[in-house]
Amino acid sequence: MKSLLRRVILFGLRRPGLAAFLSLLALVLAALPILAASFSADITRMLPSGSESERACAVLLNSGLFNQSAVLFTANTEEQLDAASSGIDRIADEIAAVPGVTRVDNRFLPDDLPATLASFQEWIPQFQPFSGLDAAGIVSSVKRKILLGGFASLVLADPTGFAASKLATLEQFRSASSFRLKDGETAIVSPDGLHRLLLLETNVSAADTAGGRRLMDDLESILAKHPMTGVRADLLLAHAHSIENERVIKADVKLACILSILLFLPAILFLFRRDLRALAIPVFPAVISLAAVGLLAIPGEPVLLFVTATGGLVIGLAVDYGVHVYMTMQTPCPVRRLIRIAPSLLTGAATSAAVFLLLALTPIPGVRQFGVFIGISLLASLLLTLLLFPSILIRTKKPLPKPRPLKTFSPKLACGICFGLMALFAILAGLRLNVRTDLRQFDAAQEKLSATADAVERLFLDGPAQGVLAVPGKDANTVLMSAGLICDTFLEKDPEIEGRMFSPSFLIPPPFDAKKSAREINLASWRESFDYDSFAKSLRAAAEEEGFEPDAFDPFLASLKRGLESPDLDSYPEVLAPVLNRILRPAADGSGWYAAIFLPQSAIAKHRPGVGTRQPVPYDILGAVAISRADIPVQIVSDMKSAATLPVILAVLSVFAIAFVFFRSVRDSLCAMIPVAMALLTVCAVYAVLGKPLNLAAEISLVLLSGLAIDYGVFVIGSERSAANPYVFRAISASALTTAAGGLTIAFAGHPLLHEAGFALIPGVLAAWGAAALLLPSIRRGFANQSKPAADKLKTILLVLVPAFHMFTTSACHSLPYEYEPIPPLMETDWPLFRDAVQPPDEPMKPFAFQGKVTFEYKFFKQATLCAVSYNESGELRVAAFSPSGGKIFELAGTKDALADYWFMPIDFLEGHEEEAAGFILADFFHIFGGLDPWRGVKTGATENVKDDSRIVRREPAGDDGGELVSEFWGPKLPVMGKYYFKNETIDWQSWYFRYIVIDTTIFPEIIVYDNNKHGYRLILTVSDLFEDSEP
Amino acid sequence: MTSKPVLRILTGLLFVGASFAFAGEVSVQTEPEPQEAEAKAGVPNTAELLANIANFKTLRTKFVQTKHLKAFKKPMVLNGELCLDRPGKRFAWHVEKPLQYSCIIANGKLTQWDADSDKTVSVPFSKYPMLEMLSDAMTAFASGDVKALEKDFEAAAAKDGTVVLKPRSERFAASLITEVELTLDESKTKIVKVRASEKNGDVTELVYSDSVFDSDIPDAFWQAKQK
Repeated sequence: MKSLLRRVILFGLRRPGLAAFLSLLALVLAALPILAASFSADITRMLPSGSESERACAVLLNSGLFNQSAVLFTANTEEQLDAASSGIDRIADEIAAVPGVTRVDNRFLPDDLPATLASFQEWIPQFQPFSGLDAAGIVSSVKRKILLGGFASLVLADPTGFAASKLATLEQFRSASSFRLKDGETAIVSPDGLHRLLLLETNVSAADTAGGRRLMDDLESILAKHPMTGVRADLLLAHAHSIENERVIKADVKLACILSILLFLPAILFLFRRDLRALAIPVFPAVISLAAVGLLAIPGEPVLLFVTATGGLVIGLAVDYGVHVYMTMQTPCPVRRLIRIAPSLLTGAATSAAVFLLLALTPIPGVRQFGVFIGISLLASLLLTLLLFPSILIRTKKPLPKPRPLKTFSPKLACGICFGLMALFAILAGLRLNVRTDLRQFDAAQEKLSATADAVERLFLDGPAQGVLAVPGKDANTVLMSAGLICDTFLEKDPEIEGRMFSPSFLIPPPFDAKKSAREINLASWRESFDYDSFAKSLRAAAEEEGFEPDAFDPFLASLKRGLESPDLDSYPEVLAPVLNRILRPAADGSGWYAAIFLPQSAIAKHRPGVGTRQPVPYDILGAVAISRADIPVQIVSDMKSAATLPVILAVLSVFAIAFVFFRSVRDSLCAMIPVAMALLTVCAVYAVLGKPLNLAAEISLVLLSGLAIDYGVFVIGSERSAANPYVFRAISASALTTAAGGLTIAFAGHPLLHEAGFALIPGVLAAWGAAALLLPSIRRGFANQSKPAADKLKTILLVLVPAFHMFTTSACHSLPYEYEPIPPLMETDWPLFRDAVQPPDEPMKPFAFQGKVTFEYKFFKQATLCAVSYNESGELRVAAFSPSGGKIFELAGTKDALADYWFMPIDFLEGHEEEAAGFILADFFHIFGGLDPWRGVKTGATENVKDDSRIVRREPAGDDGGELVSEFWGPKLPVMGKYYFKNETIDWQSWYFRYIVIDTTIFPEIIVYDNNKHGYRLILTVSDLFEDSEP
Repeated sequence: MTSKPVLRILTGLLFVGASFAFAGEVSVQTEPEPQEAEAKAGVPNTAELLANIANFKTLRTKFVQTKHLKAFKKPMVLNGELCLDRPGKRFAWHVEKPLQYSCIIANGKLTQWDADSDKTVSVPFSKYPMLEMLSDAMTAFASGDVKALEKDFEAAAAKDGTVVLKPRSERFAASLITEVELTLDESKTKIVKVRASEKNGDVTELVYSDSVFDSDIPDAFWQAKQK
């Protein structure tokens, strides 16, 4: 390896022109694939390949079943919406003509119902097999219905009741999908009469950013053309996420380029005393990163835009090599020295590159691409720098200032400072660090767009959102057949879900085999067995006999005849089309078809296919995927948790392994790891102190820091061992400065993923530099002078690993198991409302009663129990807990001030402590359920302020021990989201409220996490049944 | 109270609580049963009745356990499925609602899991011999095998064919339970309901449905962790 590096350096020096030409040629060839590359801002590429969440998201995008494309019109009054009705109709007509829009649904039911019912009859021969038509029976049935008060026009339009039966099935869709509309409205109007929806269907894929942008522009211009008084129009396009993400990332790439120029050029000119040759240092990694983008495009996969935006990082990391080469070339015998330090440089680069290339083993495509991009860029940057830079520097030599040796001081003091800081950071991180793995936080468009989507859901959905099974197939027939089979199996296993499930196979008869549609088979049976003329004659005769006009049934007969003679086998009846077109449709990429089966989420969970499920419905055999809005975020968190930890562990292990291979010494390798440990612990501590959860972006930065900090360690230890580079202090200082500058280029990015990665990098780099430049030489010299190396090794290992282990274990224990939904921003009008609300005097809590679950966690122990809790008007709280097998564990009752009664199941070790334990549990429950409501129980002296424009924070004195209770509210209209009880500047207990049950005017927490910090345990409460009175 | 005893108490409570409430009824002592009075009153002969029930090898049944608490108006209801394999000495108790929980007693150990904590805890009988007695008691109650319980309970048949078990006064069970009533099906051979009245006024009912006897029980039922 050493001779290869020697050859590279000497070739560059002897034939600089040829070396430059060959390099340029290689770079151009590598960059060429960019011309044919596709770029993507798809955030789902950050999901682990093959994971449940990735499959679900792929179906979400490709099936078209979940395209949330709509225009929501909002009026202040019902009259304003009525007045805007004709305008909205015009808008609907114009939108229907927009290229890319294949369908606009403006009405759920047609205006002319009798005409629609009459036209429905032509579908009879397709939708049901022929089994005879009794003319006399039909006429007498119609007569009976009319006599019983039926509308004659409707009954005559649908004499067989066929249309009515399909409409009844359609009604089942409304209840199964929880979709609700204003009664008596044919348009899609919300029950409050203030909102109207236009549902759009497009053939533009949600991932097609360019097409989506064109579509959005067209729609916006139509809406701008038709302003309506008092009515606001909001566009809800499935494409908006990719458009917004791409916009943000493109802006970030521009910002990163500008910042790179603004930060690197002055920094380099400053560091190298206005030597213009030094400006070549960032040029090498810059052109390499461009070529590396081309290499990423070769496998044919789309190149992720946020990966390309990390080019600034490559420059920040790879300028180190240029800095080292520059410094070395200023020393006496520069080429010889350069050849001597080249292996060290290569080891550093290889270590960093190996760390990044190891990311290629992770299951997350985005992280894989990021790892490959940085890994290749680093290695290639070093080679290019070694090849071309010495020839630039050797011609005009400029003397450098006298080298500054590494400072050393007492090894004991250095060790004390280093490990003291590490322990402090580890404790800080262990106490407060949370981990957040929900990928939705990196969707730049999430916050902006979720408000409208949530509004649509809130306005038009009644009850819990249903789960959906997306059933794929090669064509509509196959899909219908699969959907029919799955529904039958579900109903067989779980008859209770009948009426709460809906499938397109309920509206269209599923075929018996996939070769021919049931509609064709039914039609053939009618054509073969049904004599239309004879039936028409009998019907007219029967009608006359029953007192009808002879031609009373002619519209029905004409429709039936049309259905027999010129059937439309490719479309659906007008009334069914809006629903069927959405739940039975071709895939966006043309690969087949999808059908959506709606069913309760609990049924999906209960019958999920798998070895451990006792009543599985093997829908996965047919390729169906469960999509549940509630489950997908949970699944993402779960998938990411396992996928995101691996890169950090691999990074730490690999840097140690490579350092060991280079040094062949455990002691030196562990010493070289000190900057790594310091950098990781510092980032975790910074996140903990700021109260920010550690996320995927920060974890990527931890990997990056591992690769970077080991470089510092290797350079310093290498320099200590061979004294080859007298400029090592200056080199790693310059490197830290440029890397921090690289971090800054993305720390200001608008995209959360880039911003977080840059934010985490800066403190880590500074910590790694501090450990490497200021402490490491003393520590290493101290250890080298010790007479008992074995004991030193052990000491080093323990000192480095124990704090790190402590941090990882404790931080994992303290991560929250749930995440908050996005908090709506506070409106200006909310603040005075809240001020008024908190003024009333101290009022007691509202009575409540519920049954639910409590999971008790203490260190690594976890156990779930059941509970019944009630709080009555007289202020008495009653709690009973049961084992999951139903055995009662304890029951207690008392007020906030006194324990009244308690019972515990007899257990030896509890003897003598029953009362104390009961009082202790009672206090916990009062902590949790007291002060839920911002309107009640406010203490005198309470103060409030607004936090992050979305939360109201109230501080009030609490308890008799001088404590302070801090409560955060979701604005004035919803109750508490978190409570913290401070005493003596520490948090005694804290409680988080993640979800609420809302029943009419009652709002009650559904998921609560309570930490008793005093005793170090956690309770996770889930309310399953909330009762109206105060007796559960 | 300092944190350590409190935690020990809570941890211990939850662990013990996770076992069945029948734990206290297991002990050893036998007494003869009076049967003459029954014959005089025209009620079924207890000995004959007891001889015919619980004559099965395996049972798989859905259950609804309703717990009426004296101090609470609304009963607490648990739904699930239980399996018994008497020759294999295996017992499975799977709760589906209101939380997913499984307790498997098999192969000389008790294994329990719940979806909320997603933790599987296994305790070998060798470490806690009491668990083996607990296992026997649970099997006996769930299957209606009164003969196995006669050490602690006095059994009597009522006119309607139910079997009432009253704890013997000197046994530990008497400090917790007033009586246990077993309801049999029409054939008087299979148990369909267990109703336990406790000293503190609480009543627990366990109602079986869709019972399948002597069939092969799939392996999934003997796994504690459910997907």
